[in-house]
Amino acid sequence: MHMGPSRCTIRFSLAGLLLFAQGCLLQQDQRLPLELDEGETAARTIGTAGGILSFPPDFSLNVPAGALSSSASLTVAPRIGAPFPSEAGVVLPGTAFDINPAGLTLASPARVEIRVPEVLLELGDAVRLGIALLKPDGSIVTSTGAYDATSGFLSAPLEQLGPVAAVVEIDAIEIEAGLPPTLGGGTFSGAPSPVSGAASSTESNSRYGSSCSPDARRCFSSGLVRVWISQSLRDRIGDDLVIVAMTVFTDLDFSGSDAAGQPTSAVGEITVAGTLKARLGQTVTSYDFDEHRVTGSGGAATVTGLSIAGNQMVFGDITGEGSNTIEFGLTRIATGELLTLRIEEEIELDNDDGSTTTGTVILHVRLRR
Amino acid sequence: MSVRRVSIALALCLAMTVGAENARAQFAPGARSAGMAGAGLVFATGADAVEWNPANLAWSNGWEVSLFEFGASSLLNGTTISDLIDIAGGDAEGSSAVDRLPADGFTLSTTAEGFAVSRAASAADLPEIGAPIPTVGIAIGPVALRVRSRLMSEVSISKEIADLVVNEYNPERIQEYAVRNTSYRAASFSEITLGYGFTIGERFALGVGARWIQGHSLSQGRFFEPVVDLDEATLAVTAAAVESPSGSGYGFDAGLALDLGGGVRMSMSGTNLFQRMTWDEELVAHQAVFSDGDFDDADITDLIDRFEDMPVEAQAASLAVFEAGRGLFEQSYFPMTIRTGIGWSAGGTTVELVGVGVSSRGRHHNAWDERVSAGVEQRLGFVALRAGYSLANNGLKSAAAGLGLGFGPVKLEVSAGRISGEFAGIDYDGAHVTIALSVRGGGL
Repeated sequence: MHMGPSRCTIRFSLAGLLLFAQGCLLQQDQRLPLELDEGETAARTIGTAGGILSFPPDFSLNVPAGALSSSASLTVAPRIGAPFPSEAGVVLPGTAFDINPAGLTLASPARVEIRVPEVLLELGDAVRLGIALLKPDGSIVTSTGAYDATSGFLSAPLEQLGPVAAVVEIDAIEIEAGLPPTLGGGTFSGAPSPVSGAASSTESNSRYGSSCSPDARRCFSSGLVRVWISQSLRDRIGDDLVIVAMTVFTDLDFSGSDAAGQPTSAVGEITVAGTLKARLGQTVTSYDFDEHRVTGSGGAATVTGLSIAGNQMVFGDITGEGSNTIEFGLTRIATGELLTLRIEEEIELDNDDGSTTTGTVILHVRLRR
Repeated sequence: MSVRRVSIALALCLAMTVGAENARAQFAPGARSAGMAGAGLVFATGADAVEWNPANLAWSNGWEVSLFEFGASSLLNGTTISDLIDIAGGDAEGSSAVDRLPADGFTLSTTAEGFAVSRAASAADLPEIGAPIPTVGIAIGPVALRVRSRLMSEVSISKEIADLVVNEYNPERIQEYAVRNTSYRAASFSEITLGYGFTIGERFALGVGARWIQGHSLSQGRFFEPVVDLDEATLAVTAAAVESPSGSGYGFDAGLALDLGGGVRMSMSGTNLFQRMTWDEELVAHQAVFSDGDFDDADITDLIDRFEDMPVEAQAASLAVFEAGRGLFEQSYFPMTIRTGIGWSAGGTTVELVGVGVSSRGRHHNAWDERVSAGVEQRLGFVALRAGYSLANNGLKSAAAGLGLGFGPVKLEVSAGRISGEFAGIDYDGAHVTIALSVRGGGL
């Protein structure tokens, strides 16, 4: 149907009138006066009394009193120009921020919060979340974070300013199902070393050791440490569990030989530390453990007597929590021998009636000769 | 226009004005209409007419001074009044009531007269919400002025928090605690509305109203998920709230009334046909951290005192504060409300059928507004008996009754009602009460 110019004009006029009414008669929402425009940088001078620098709605940095020795002008902006290094783990999109002045070390750690909507995460990622800091020398330090899955807040301590990002840690250690197998013991095959002397000063065929830390990327993916937890602990904190920020340093030198060819003394240390992270409902929490065993009764490793019965190594003197007895297993491999030790960390859990239940984290730590 | 055509047109208007919104608390302005379950549009008089239909003022010859009006309404979504009482009691029945809660917990919406609530809060050493003006009114012939203060609030409690309140903290159930949607929102404001009605011919009346709104407080807050210390078997919960301490706005109303003869009258009014509301952007934040021990031995005033007030500065607000304030201003104004009705009044009997619709923009309203209400009033000497029933298309129903007593020029009116229903498998339960005292003369 042909529409005359006058009718068309009327229709357009009416449409314009409606748009005008929509724009002018209906109230528009006020904007919360905290939001920044795209491309803006948040800047604030924070003194020795501390303060908050934020880039709402995705970032805030809470600097405690005493963290800065003098007033400093801090800025934060989304990191857009350069990608965050992927060695940190899986960097979640939109969670990288540049905090300046980069490299400024804080006397006490600040608390950084980054919004990580749960929709960005895959199943099981929440317990692996951490905040990675890119240091001026190019190294990366990842802090384990607490996570609120309802609001999407990931928070972690920060000891130095610089580029940060929320990452899913890829070197986290899974908690294995069930309970660990009993280690089978075995006969040491290495040549005996001198009876006395610290492990650090002696090279021998009976010296076993291993080391791995969060700085050495992805060394745990080789199975250096396997972890189980007791059913009582699993009942309390669920199944969504990992261990992150694991540090292992073991060095044991065995010497002497009994009638069965087993060593009769040992010197060295075992350090196993890490953070058990658990998802409890809508929150992710963590439990830090640190097992440090040193042969001898002093602070430094000294030679101590050792007897081996079946799959148990019984040390004469060994400092640190737990008994003198450590379950072990020996496995021959093509290039040498693996010594697996069972290390346990006990966690006391309060019950409603005031009693306590003991939960146990069980680690199998591999040492290599 | 025939009565049949009028009836069809009215029915269409009623059908159009009832939408499908979530149900929240509501009480109709005025003890008369509250006693008629939200009917009362067609024959509202005096100060009531200002808020219902200013056109009715055109036919008012007398005068009225409304000395006092207190109204309060609450509506529960997800539980019932008796279950909520059991939960608050914290005993074994409370535990059963928690089990009956839906997974999302429950929401309590309330609307109450602001001045009385403010005074009560002050007496109980609780935070006052601004300085609301008492709800009063005056009407002289075709001109009336209504002052009304309201506090509207909505509190959502997660099922897990309700469990924590009833059963106290149990470290063996540490996996089960979650704050989820536990939050609140409150708006306190006073409205001063001036209405004027005039006739065009003998049977047609028009009315206009202008309203000034003084906002006393707009706030919202929420809890955040607990930080659990596995080593110490304790938990700490952060709560944050953001408040705009004042605001101002205005709105314009219009109404028409048509006397069809034989005691039959048609009425239609629009409230906030044009309106603006602006809240103060100098925000104040409140933040506090609570431990599991606080839930075991909670003293509400002590817990409230924990909140520290601090100004909210751009680029210096924690994410918790920002999250608590997110959406604070979103549609924080008053929606356009359209009411249509038809009524018959003869002798001492009045019958009304009223439909109310609310525009989708503007959240400061009560969703029970969107309804069809039928009410009846019977005057017997100095006594007026009222009853009504309303139905919203989301399944919410309300039955109400009221009593008016006239001691010469002094009128005391009370009304009460119950709201109930089920929508999308969620129970609704609520109640409202209104008490009003006025002095009238000159035939009003």
